[in-house]
Amino acid sequence: MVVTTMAEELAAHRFFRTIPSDLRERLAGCARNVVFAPGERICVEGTHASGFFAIRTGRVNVGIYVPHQGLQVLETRHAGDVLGFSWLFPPYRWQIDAVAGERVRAIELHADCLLPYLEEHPAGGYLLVRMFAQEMEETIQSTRLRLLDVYGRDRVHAR
Amino acid sequence: MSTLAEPRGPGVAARGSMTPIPHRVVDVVHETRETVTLTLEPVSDGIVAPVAGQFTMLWAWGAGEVPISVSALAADGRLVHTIRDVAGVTKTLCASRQGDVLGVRGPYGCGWGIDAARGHDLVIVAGGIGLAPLRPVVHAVLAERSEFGRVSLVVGARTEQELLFRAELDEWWHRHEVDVRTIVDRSSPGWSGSVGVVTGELVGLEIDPASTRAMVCGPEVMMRVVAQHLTDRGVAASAIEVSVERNMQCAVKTCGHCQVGPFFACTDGPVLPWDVVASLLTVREL
Repeated sequence: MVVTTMAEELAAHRFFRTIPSDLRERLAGCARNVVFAPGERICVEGTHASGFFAIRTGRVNVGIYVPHQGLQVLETRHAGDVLGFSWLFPPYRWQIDAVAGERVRAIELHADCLLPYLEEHPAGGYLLVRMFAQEMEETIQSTRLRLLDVYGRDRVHAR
Repeated sequence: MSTLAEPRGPGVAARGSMTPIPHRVVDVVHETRETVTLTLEPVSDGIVAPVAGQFTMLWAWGAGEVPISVSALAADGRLVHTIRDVAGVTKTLCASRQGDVLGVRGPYGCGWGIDAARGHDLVIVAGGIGLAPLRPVVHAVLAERSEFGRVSLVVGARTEQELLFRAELDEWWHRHEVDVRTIVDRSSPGWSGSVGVVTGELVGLEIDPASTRAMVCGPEVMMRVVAQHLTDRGVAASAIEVSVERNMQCAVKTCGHCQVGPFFACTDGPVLPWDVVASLLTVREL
């Protein structure tokens, strides 16, 4: 059996691949492996955002619950993605609901451990916030593209 | 850098072949609410057999003529076209019934580089009706599966209901010979697949940039985003082919309606290498 350290697992994840090893070691100290069964809720809108998840395998449906209609899925996060931005900013409350679309293996990183360290080490904090900003930009761009409705009837031809 | 002087596919039909050849509709399949697949059979003599990625000009009598890609390569001179009703001529074509007669010119344009993809991994990305021109590629790959490396098919659509060739996608998925992934812009009750843009599904694909070729067809914005994603991951721009759609009217490089800079989509394309066409697709109004 091959035993890998948490730092090695982080290094294998797309999001953390490029960060310096000393920061990765520090992040590993705030991380743990988690598994979610299909349909299991990973985070709940309005509750305390205690950290974020780096998805290793599986698919997470992100959306908002609408009364009598259930979860309205707005986007899917895949292996290699991170899930959760709310841990970074007050009031540290989840803005979304997330449910495992299939069996999900992820690394959970805890804000209580991370935030004090990042406050004290601005270089590492700046780097991590930049990485999250890039993820947010990609999410916003994805949303823009869908608002454009590129597959809509007014914008494509008949082929 | 690719050059269009290289032989990249079958040549254009002879310039003199401007007369539509009558074909009878022998089968009509309603794929989605607004998309129909027609199988046509020549009334007498047919046209030259098309290859994957080529198109014909379909003429509905009294309505007009539009370019439509072949969506399958049939035997015995039959033609298979999948058409989306975007009003005008396409509305008339989509309303065709068995026994109706349509005019056909072609086939025209350059097809997909299937031969160039042999021995390589292949990433096929289709958006909306863009799956129609790529379906013959999937058929060709499945017919000679051992000729290709890892093959992935990523299909994007507005909703689950607008996914084309649903039964065939399920069949391909169950065969496990091609990694089939679907993603929709908007979820609907019962949809258990992914929601987002096609690049969301590409993120999870293992890609060996050195041995990967890609074929992309869909709305131009989508093709741009996909090509950017692939080149960011190291895939050579010359290894990415896109199918450019323009207002084709004559289909024989005469009228100029489909000109894209120095190229004509009808004869130099519609399938063009990304390194040749990338800079042109960001020029406004081109």
